[in-house]
Amino acid sequence: MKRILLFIILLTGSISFAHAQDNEPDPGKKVQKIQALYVAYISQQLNLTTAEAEKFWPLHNQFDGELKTIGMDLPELDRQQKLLDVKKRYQDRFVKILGTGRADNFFRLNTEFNKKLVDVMRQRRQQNNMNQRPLRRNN
Amino acid sequence: MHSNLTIQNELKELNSLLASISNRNVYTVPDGYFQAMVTDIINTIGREPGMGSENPALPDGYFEHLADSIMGKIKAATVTEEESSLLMPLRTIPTYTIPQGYFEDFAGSVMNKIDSIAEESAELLDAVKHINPYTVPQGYFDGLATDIVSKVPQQAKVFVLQQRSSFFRYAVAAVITGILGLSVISIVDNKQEDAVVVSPVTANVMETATQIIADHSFDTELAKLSDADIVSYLQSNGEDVNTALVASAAYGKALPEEVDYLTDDKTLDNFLNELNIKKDNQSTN
Repeated sequence: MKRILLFIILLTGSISFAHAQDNEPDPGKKVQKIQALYVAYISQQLNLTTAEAEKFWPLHNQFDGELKTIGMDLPELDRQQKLLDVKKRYQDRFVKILGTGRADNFFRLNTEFNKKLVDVMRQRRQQNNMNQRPLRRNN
Repeated sequence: MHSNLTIQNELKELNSLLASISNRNVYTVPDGYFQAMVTDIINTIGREPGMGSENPALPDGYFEHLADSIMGKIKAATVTEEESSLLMPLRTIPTYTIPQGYFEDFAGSVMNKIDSIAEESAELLDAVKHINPYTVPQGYFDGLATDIVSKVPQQAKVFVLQQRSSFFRYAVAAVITGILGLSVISIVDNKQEDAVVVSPVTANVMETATQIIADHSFDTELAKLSDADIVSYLQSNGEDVNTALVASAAYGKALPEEVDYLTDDKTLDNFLNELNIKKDNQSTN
């Protein structure tokens, strides 16, 4: 009897485990949403034409993939240097598609987009904290 | 305990006499047997004729003359010269002899012997040529099977140990297979999600992006993002989120002012608390 009971417990346990897996939100989708925002932002800011976009985004995929191979565990300055190396290596190829001015702008907009995300987060946190302690600060 | 009982039952079926013997150790010794044993043995040895209770002593100088006495006995046992003179001539006489000319007509005599035996037995063999020596009595096989079965002693009833074990084994195998299967599926799923993260601009992403541009909904969509999603996106892009948060405050001119530091020495702590920096430090590092 004990064995049958154990069997049933294991079975129900594994089923509920499987359900828990199913109910978790799909993190890939969330990241995709932010990526869509990124694509929209870059496309608008650079005024990409359809022909340019067709060449630009495949190259960008390659570029982004290479940036992501750089490990986070490296010493900070080494990591920054490697990121810079990749960016420099791709610079010419971006210039060929976008021209010097807009290619330069693209590298700047990359940082700008991340900054926008951080701003959203920062403003929300400061807002929340001010709501919790309304008398402390008015900044 | 349960299986012991089963074995006991089966033993009862096989041999009730054995089964009726109680589970008791029959090899016992009287009380204090081993305490007195050593002195008993020594006393018994002492009573043997010709043996003292002490070790029998060797005669003085026994080993000094031992080799000599042995050699003397060997020499005394050797053959005397008289005996050897009798034995000497015997050495040249061969013990095993055959008659003269034995091998000359050996082959012929063997063949003759064979022929004479063949002639003698020819008549006998002729007579039995067509008789099958391998016969069985009439109806021998008719009752054979039942005869054998009736002679085999009846088998005792067999008690099977752990009757449910095979079911349980299958059940465990099924559960393990299920768990393995599920984990493989979840691992494969995770890998697919990772693949989505690594290749950033897919057709899906492009479609959503086009939609956002068409709707001019960039700012509203941006505001809808949760902190956790932003953090995971930034981290996947190699951003240090905490540093970026402080930098963002400086950029957005949301830093505390100089006067604040003078009026409250916890201004910096409060500021970092507002950005939840400490909490993030604990959770990300």
